[in-house]
Amino acid sequence: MANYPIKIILKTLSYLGLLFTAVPAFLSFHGLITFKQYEIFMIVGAFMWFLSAPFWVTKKDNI
Amino acid sequence: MSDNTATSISNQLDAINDYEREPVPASKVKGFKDFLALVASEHIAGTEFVIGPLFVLHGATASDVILGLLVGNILATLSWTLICAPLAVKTRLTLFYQLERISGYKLVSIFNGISGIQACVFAAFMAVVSAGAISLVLGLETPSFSQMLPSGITWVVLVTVLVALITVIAIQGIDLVSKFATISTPWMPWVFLASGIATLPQLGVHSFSDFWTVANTTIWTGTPVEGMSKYNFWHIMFFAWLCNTAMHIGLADTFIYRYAKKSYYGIASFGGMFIGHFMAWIASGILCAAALQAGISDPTPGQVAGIGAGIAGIICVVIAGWTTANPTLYRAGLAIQGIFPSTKRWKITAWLGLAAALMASFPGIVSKLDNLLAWFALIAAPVGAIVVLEVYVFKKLNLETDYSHHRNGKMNWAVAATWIISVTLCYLIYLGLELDFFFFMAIPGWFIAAIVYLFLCKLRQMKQPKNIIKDSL
Repeated sequence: MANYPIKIILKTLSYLGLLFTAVPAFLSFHGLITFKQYEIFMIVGAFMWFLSAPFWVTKKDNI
Repeated sequence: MSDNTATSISNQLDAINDYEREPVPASKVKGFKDFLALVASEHIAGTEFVIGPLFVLHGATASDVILGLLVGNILATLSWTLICAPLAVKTRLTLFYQLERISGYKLVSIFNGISGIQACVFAAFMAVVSAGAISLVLGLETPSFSQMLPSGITWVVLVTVLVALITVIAIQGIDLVSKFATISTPWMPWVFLASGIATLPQLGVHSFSDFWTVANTTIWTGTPVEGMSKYNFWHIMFFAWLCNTAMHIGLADTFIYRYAKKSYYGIASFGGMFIGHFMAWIASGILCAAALQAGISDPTPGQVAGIGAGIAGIICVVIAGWTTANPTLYRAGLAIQGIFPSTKRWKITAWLGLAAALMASFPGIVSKLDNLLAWFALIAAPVGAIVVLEVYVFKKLNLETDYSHHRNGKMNWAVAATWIISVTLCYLIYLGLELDFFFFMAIPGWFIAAIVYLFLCKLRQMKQPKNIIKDSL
């Protein structure tokens, strides 16, 4: 598949976006990062997800 | 825009076929993943930021909330899995067309009108929630729900743009509604979860072993705030089960499940229930407690989400509102099309979008949503009972099905009588028992309707011969 590497990059970005959304809350809960840093991670995660997911998440031929 | 372009767009929209008056063909059915995304996103809405706090404000205890939501959501999932989805897959028709075949055009028009208005108000409510969150970010003045007039021209422009976007997606039909949900759904639950977890230290939870103590002493304290009634396990269990009465036992979700490849796809509602109506309600309850502690006595969904996750939380409110409004407006279009079958659904949806934008401009109108939903639950439950009897029971009892369809659209008075008797009886029971929760009456309403309709149809068939015409469907 010609666009296979692009899909891999897009999917990686999307999953990283979800990780950036979910994990920092636990780090903040345990005092490893501040609440402000947690909020920044959340925004970055949201942008990563919404800028990459639309290109692969609705496609039938998902990898 | 040139005339040619306008005609081309109009022709393309005319070509969108959502099988409003015919069974969905086998080639158009969808897989489980599509349903999981669609159903989950529909129940992760901006309203979750309103409902979770309600349990805090109404003084439920932590065990009331956890157990009530657990039992109620299991019952709701079972209602979709055992009643709504199997019926939708068996007939592959919309509720409205099915009801038209049973009750006749005039009667179904009344139900369609009520359903359409309810869905339209709900879409407007979602636009108000989303617009409120955007206003918070932009520093614009946001009208409260009790305010009848718009707070300014910027508010009107904001809600109009939001409703226009919702309308464009709803016009495109189930494919685009499903696509939008598929993109948003994997992200939203993490925001709810993260918000709840990250806010816990503000309430004094520093290890997970602290949670239960703080949950009982600071979050769900068991003491309602002034002016609120007391909620217990039963309120929460029935609310979790029956807040979507119209959709499951009222069969409105046959619109969606008629596209299901298998009848067991109703189990997909488990995702919506336990992410949206369990985890999200608990998380937003935690956020509400944090807001109360911060001195915000009546927090808006935007404020609640902002406390939990800052800008990302506010984005979540906007998208959650949007993903709920899309299928809602799509349903409203189908409902009203039942009244005007010769008019294309996209034209009707566009007009409904305009009406939703108008209502959202006046938040005082949509603030009555809770009352409207409770009334609609009472109106929808008998309809679900009638259709379930027609599809599963009548042939076994040798009773005639699709009465009106077999008599050139003649009104089915048994449906009208069942509807009036069950709604009236339920309301009288509600008053007589001095119940404080309208949702308590949806299940009795369903069974009263089933018994009354069965009795009336049996009585009619004893007096009139059965008139079976070979069905074209």
